[in-house]
Amino acid sequence: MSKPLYEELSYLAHAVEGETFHFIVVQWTHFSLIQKTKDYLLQQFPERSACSIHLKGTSYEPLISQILDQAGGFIFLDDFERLVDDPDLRVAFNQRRGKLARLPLTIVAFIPSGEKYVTKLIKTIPDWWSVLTFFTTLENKEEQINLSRTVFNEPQNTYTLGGKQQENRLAEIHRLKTRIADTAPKPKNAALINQLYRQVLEICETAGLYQIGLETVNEWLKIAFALDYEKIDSITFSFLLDRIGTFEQYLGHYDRAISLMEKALELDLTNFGPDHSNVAVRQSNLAIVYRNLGQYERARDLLESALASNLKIFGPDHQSVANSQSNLANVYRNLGQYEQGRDLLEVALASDLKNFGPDDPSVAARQSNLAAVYFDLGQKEHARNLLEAALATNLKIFGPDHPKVATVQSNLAVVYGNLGQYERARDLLEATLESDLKNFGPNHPSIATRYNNLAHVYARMNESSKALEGFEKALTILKHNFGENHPYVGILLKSIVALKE
Amino acid sequence: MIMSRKAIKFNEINQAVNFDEPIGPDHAFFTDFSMVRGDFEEQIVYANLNVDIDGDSLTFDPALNGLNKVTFFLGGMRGSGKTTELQKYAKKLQHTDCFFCVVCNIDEELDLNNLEYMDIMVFQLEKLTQALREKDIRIDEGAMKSLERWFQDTVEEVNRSITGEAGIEIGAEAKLGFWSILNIFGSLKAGMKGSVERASSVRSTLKNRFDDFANQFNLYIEEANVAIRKENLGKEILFIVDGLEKTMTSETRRKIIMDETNRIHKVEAYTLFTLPIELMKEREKLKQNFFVESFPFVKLLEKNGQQRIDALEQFKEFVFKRIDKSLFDSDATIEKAIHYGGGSPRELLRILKTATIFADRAKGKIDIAALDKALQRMANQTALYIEPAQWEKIAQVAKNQTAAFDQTVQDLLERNLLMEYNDGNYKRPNPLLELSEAYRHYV
Repeated sequence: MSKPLYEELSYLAHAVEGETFHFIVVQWTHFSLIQKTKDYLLQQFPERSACSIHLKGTSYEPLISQILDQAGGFIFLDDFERLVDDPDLRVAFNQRRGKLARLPLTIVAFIPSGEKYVTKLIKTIPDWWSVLTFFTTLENKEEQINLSRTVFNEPQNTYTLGGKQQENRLAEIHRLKTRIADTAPKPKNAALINQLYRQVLEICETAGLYQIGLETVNEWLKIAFALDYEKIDSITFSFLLDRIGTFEQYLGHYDRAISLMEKALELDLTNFGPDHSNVAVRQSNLAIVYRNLGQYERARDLLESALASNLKIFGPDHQSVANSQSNLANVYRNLGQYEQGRDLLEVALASDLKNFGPDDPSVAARQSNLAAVYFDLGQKEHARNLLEAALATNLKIFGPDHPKVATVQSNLAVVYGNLGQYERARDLLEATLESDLKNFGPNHPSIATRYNNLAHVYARMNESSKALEGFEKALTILKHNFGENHPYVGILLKSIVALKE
Repeated sequence: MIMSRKAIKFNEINQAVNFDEPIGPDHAFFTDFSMVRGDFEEQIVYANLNVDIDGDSLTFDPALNGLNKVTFFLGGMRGSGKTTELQKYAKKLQHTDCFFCVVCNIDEELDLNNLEYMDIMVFQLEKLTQALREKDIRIDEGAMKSLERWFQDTVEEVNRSITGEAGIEIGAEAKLGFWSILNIFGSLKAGMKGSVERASSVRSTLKNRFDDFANQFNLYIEEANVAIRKENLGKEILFIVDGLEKTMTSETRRKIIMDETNRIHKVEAYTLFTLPIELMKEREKLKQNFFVESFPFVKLLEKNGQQRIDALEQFKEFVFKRIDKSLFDSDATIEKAIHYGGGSPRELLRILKTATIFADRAKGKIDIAALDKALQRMANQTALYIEPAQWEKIAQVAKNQTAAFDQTVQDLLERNLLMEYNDGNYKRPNPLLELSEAYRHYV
């Protein structure tokens, strides 16, 4: 166990000394910390009884009587954040504060990390907060230094334009741009110019050439205005704003991305009304940016709206609905609502299996996402099994050197690493790195992710110099692509400092 | 294809009432019903395709509408004459100042028992390339090479995913030269008509890379648009995709249109599809991204029961173009047959064909006795397996000439037991039913 976590738990143990009433709130950054905390406290106080209660699905009467029946020892409330959203439970809890506080109980209430829950609890159970014995935020440094959930890659679409090699993609961009230059900028050629630009942008996305992509889409916007696409109107305008926003996002310019994509969404709401598939796409794209910014609630609201629209438009068993469910599940995961995320992904997976059968990349993508949630829920073997199935499917369909295969391999390596199988994790990550180097060349942002993941494994295997080398390579690539101020650069710098310490 | 000809002798009637033969505007059998289809007018189709109508002149302006691509679904009941109507549009729209029409008859070249939207897209590309080659309209060479590379790469990916048998082989017809991409389209199409594993590999690969497939498709269309304009052969490519309703199952049709809505939406090309009748109930969903119009039967009777003489005369012309007047015993026989056809050209041909079976060979004519026998037999067969709830609905429609839409109405429309006129708001029971005992009992 890493030193800071150990220190914090030892403080917690001090706080609950003495058989009297204690009210403890533990904020966790990783689901596994709930179990770790319980194990630690029971180890320290083996003579005490313990009871774990999930507030989900519990009404106030059995909850209170269960606590009163216990009448001593530890009461672990695993999902205390539910109190915020359940007024009945909250009232019951508030009303019995005096009665409970007279018992020799230690109530340990777990909530996910983040300002939201703390501020809401202070507001909704002020009495309880006033008798708070100890409040702590536990960070799983061990998880973070090795393989945290943040390194899970979500499966991407398969992009194939411009060929498999980076130099071929660059040549294709050159061809397309030359063709644009040779095409007279007249309204009758607008559709051709649009398609040419669209392809350039797709290739820029694939090849990680985000700066070129951003310049290209701005150039496209200028030409669109020059050609007086009066008729293309706000529909094309909103599309272009969305694309510019996407490239701004890639480059870490989240504020700019949000302002552009909010505008695009507003335009499409006017163009199509709320229950339209275009609006759902804009909402989903915008949600990605909010998610990257850590504004998970806004991301969730947007994705819930997109899902509701898609359900209305396509019915429950459609791929668009499964995609929306999957996107939303990823945000639930960020919000620590793992069960909700898991449930949605199980539904999406069932739908994909029904639509496409077991050997389909959509199914593999869902399995990969679902594995991430099971990983968060601490069910690592289940996560591994899902990823192994996804990998087998992708290998069968795409062959060994495909980016989709690399993504799943990388995720599987994360799980192996957490199961302590570092050699397997390293071997997989090295293979992934080699494959991505072939596909994307040395400066693509995904290569930075691969070096970063590999460095974490090397660090765990006590190969510090290799780890440092990996982090530094990742840092160089990120700076090259995104500049010094991108959030990922900051995260990497922290990893380097932690390793050196 | 053997083209039917007008029956002058009795034994020629059978070939003249063949209703599987598509009739274009140049065919001797072609009869224009456009003025007698109630609220439906062909101008609706042209206007929806952004065509400027000035008297007889139809023009398309790419500067104005090149970006406003339209996918248009022409829905309607089986036998209402959609195919003939589409052929008429193709002829009228195909010229220098309007569209370069690429007609894709699914039923002629694809496997109707096993069909998906990917198959149709590949077919469209093949037909477009063949049409360009025929006129020697060359698109930008760099674009063609790039397309060919991408499709070549797609075939390689297909072959990687096939494990149980040999992969797809790309033909090597050397004389194709600039058009060698046709070898690839041909191979993909053959792959989709081949074994289950092969077909599924081709389709899955195209679906897995669909965003890029759609991009390549769209870019090809635009390069072709520029090329046809340069050669003065049209202003814009228009795909006319017909035959979807002939696919084996309604589930196949539903999957192609409804499950693939997102994919169809990503394809940016002027396209006119026929929409199978059972999917007309989905028109509100489809209207989110596409244009949908209902193609009704010819209206022989007004809602108040008054006969439309113009429609009757048009149908007589339709009959006499196929069968010489001398092969009927009287006008009354012809008019009775037309009445029981209910405004469906195909239904009328079926009646005439059956009447021929019962006709006295010695007389060498279709007489009223033969027609009555045919009608009674067809009525009894049509009335078979109609459930009581369906009869109730038929009775309701007979009384009100309309009915709120529900699954029963849908089922009755699919079986041609109800017939739709105008924009679908006017319905009548199939007139053949009136002759059945069950109809008299329930209605």
